[in-house]
Amino acid sequence: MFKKVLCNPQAVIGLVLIAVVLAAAVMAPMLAPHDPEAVDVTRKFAEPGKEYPLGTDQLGRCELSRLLYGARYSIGMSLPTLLVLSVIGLVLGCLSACSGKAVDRIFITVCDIFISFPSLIIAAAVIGVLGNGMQNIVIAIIISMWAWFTRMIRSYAVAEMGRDYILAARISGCSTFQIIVRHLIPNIMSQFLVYVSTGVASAILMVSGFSFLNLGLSAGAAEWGAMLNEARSSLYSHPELLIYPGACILITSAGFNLFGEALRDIIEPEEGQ
Amino acid sequence: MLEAINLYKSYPAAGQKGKGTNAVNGVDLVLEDRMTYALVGESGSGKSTLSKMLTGLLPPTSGDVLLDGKSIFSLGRKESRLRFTQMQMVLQDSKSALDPRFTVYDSIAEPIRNLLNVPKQRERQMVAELMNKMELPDSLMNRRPNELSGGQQKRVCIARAISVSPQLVIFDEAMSGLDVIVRKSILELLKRLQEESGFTYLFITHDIDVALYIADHILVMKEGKLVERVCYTGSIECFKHPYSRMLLDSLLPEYLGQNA
Repeated sequence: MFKKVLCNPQAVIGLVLIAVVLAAAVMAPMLAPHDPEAVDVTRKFAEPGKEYPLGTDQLGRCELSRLLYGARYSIGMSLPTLLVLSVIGLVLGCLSACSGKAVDRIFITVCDIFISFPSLIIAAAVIGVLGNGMQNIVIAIIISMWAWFTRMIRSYAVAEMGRDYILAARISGCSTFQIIVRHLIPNIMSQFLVYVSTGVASAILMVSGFSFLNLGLSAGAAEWGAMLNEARSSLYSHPELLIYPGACILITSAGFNLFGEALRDIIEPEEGQ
Repeated sequence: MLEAINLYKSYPAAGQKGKGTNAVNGVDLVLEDRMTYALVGESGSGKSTLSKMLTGLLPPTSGDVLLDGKSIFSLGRKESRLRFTQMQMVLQDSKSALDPRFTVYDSIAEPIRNLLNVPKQRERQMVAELMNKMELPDSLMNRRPNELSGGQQKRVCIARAISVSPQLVIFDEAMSGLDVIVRKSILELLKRLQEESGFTYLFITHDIDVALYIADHILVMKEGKLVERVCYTGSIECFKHPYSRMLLDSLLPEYLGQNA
């Protein structure tokens, strides 16, 4: 499996991009030449140079430092979100698939209701009620995405529940809980990981999208979406200030998407064997 | 002893409320201990539905199944699981009946862990004995199903089914899809095991030659009903129903010559 990942160019490119972003997030304090929030209006829109490798923004803050710290926001918010979503999705999805027709129908209907609301509306409502803050963005994303995760995992679980080895497990005396833990979850894990890895990209885009709309993070936070928003005012004079955070969002989400899709290509033929 | 009383199972027809198809249509059946039964019939005659109801995996529309005089549909949750110490089932497709992530050892040990309260060491010993009985080499113990041949997969499934020493083992089309040499060796092995351990077998099959080879009671099923029950003693003359004769006509002439 690991060998197959290394032999797949798409997976390798994805992994390299993810590694770059992760390294930037982890090593931001060491790599950043300046404090990302230190304002120095006398040096606003400074040209790239030795002191400021990518120049400064409209408030004289070091662009490179802000981009490096921005990776912390994106990764630091999307990964815990995905972790919570995975737990919710696995628990509810498997329960829905294993319970009777009526309970399953109720789960599906509740999921459909949540899916029918655009995530932006849910985020606006949650942040409107709970106020600004990183954890509130995470809550908003969880509320808008849990139903997608649950539906998807339920569909994997339903397909797996129809297989003979689940029936054989029942005949072998397994309880429903044992069937879920010993047979169902390990067998849907590969498909589930593919879904999660592409889900990271959506979560990163949502975090950036919400901060671009000033939903959630406090003003001046070094988050890529918020940086894009602030740079809009200087679109014509300093377009590079939009290109840098935009490229970072693109690289991160492309990395996770490329890796996720390559993983699917690797896993699916294996499952079919 | 397993007894089926007036079993009915109907499936609702799509889009037609109140109407349905009777997959099993009033079946009465008694399976005596230490006997070998075969339930034959064409595809769609209700054999598999009947076998699932006999094991309690599918509730009947009406009727009951008694295991040693006790209804298997009125058992509590724990008792309901424990009924599998008395009856086991071997499914048709051995490859998909084995969890692809389980080793041979884990697959065979699963019913022992769930249904018998034995220490780990005894479990290991039981699995080794079962593999030996099923003529599976010890080297396969840590292999996964995709590393086994079709015959080996079938033997693992049988080992798993007999691991809890059930009274009754139901083979749901379990001999189909095997090549004739493997099938014969497995049937021989099953005969030997029955002599040693006194299992009752019920073979659900559409291959009447399997039924003639192994069973001492043959039940013929057509459109959800048992149309003939024959105590088979080696001569096909005892089959009287036209449908049974039709099934026998499908056999190769030399086979009929041997048995006539």
